[in-house]
Amino acid sequence: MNILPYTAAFRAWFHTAMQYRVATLTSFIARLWFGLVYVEIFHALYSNNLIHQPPIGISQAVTYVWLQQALIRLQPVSCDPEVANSIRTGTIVYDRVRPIDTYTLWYARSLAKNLGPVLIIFSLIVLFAGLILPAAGLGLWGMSPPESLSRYMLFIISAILGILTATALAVLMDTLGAALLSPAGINAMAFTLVIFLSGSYIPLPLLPGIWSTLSVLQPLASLIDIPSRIFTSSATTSAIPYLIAVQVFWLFVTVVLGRWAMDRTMTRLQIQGG
Amino acid sequence: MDRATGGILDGIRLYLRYVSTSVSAQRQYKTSFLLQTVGNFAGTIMDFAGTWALFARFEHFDGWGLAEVAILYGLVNAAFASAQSVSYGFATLGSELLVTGQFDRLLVRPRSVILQLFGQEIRLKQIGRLCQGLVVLFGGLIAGGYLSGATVLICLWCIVGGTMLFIGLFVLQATLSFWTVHSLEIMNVFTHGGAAIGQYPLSIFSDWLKWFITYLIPFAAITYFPALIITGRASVSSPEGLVYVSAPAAGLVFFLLALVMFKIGMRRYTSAGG
Repeated sequence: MNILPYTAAFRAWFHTAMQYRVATLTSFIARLWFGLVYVEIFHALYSNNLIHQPPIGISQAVTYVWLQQALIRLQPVSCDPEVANSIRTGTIVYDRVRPIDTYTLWYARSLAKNLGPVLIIFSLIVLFAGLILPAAGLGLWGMSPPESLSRYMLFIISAILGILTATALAVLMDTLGAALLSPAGINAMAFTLVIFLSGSYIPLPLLPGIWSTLSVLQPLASLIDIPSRIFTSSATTSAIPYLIAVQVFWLFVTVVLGRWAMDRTMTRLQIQGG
Repeated sequence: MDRATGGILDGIRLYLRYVSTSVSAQRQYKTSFLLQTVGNFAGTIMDFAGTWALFARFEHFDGWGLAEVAILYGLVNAAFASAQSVSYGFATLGSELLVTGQFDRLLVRPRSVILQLFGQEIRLKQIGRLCQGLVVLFGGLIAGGYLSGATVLICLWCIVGGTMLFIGLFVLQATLSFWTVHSLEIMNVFTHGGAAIGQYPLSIFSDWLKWFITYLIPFAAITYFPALIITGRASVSSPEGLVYVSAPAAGLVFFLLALVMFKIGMRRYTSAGG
C-alpha cells in the first residue's frame, strides 16, 4: 500500500487544526478551571474522617484529575461535523471515487485533527500543574511525577495506544453517523457514556467495590484511565504489561469493527444526483 | 389598551408562534428526537451515578450527605436544562448566525432581535435532562425527609432563578462572539462548569472560588443558599433566612445585566456579508 496520500492528508489536516490557536488556548484555560475545581472537590472529600481507606491517595487523585484534563480532548464525544455535512450534501462521493482506502483516510483525518491540540494542551497542563504549582508552593494542588523513569516511558506507550484507540472509536462513530444519516442521536448517546467510562468524570479507581478493578476491561478505559493508573502508580509495576495488553486488544477490536462497519455502510450508501 | 401593552402582547404572540413552529419541526424527525431525548436522559443518569459512586467511598461532603447533594444537583440541572432549551439561538449565535452572515436577516426584520434569538429554536431534547434533574431533586427531598409544600415552593423558585442565571450566561456567550466572531469553548467554563460547581456545597471550596460563585456569577445564590433553608441548616426566621430565601432573585438581576451587555455588544456588530 502506498502511504503517501494518507500522510499528505494527515499533514494538511494537522496544519489546519493548528491554525485555531486561540481556540486551543481557550480550551486550555477551560481545562485549567475544571482541573482546579475538581482538585478542590477531592481535597474536600479526602478531608473527611474516612472509615474505608480509598484505593488511591489524595496526591494520586489530584494527579489523576490533571491527567483527565490534559487528555480530555482525546475523547470521541461527537461525530465529526465534516462527515455529517458530507453525507447531507453528497460530497462524500469524493471520498468514494478516489482510488484510496476510505477507512485509512478517515483515520488519518481524525488523528490529524486531534493530535496537535491534545499535545499542546497536555504540555501546557503538565507545565502548569507539574511545574508552576509546585514551584509556587501549591504542591498539594499540583501533579506528582511518576515514581520512576521507566514508569514514565510506559505511560507514554499507554497514552499512544489510548490515542490510537480513541481515533478508531471516533472513525467508528463517524461511520455510524453516516449510516444513520444524522449524527444527532449518536452524539446524544455518546457524550456522557464516553466521559464516564473513559474515567474523565470520576477516576475509575475510586468506583465502589470490584468496579474499580473491573472497569479497566472496557474499551474506553484505554483512553484516559489506564494511562493515568500507570502514571499515578495506582497500577502496580507487575500489572502494567497486562494493562497494556488490554489496550492492544481493544485497539485491534475497534479497528476491525470500524473497517467492517465502514464496508457495510459504504456498500449500502446511495448517492443521489449527478 | 395603550401601544406598549399591545407591543408586548404582540411579542408574546410571536414567541408562541416560534415555539409551535419549532416543536412541530422537531416532531418531523421522530426517531432522531426519541433517540436524543432518551440519550439525554440516560446520559445524565450516568452523570449522577458518578456522584453516587463518590458517596459510596466518601460518605459525605463537609457534612452534606447524598440526599442533600441530590437536592443541589437536581436544582442546578433542572435550571440548566430549561435554560439550554430556550437559549439555543444565543448559544449558537457565534458558531452559526454570525459566521454565516444569517444574523443580518434578523436585523432587517421589524421585530426585537432578542425576541427572535429566543425564538430561533426551542430544543425539546433537553426535556430528558430536565426530567432527570427533577427525579434526582425529588429523590433527595424524599430520602432526606425534607418534602413539604414550602420546600417544593422554594425549589421551584430556585429553578426559576437558576434558569434566568443560565440564560444570562448564554446571552453573555453570544455577546462575546460579537468580538470574537467565533464561539469559544471558554464560556463552557461558566455554563457546563457552573452546572458542575452548583451541585457541590459552597463550603467545600477555597475562598477565591466561594467569592466567585457568590458575587461574580451567583451559582451559590440559586442552589446552596436556598438549600440551607430546604435542608434545615438555617432557619427561615433567622436574620439570614430572608437573604437565603430571596437569593435566587440574583439570577434575574444577572439575566437583565446580561441583556444590557448584549445590547452594547450588538452596537459593535458590523456585517461581513454582501
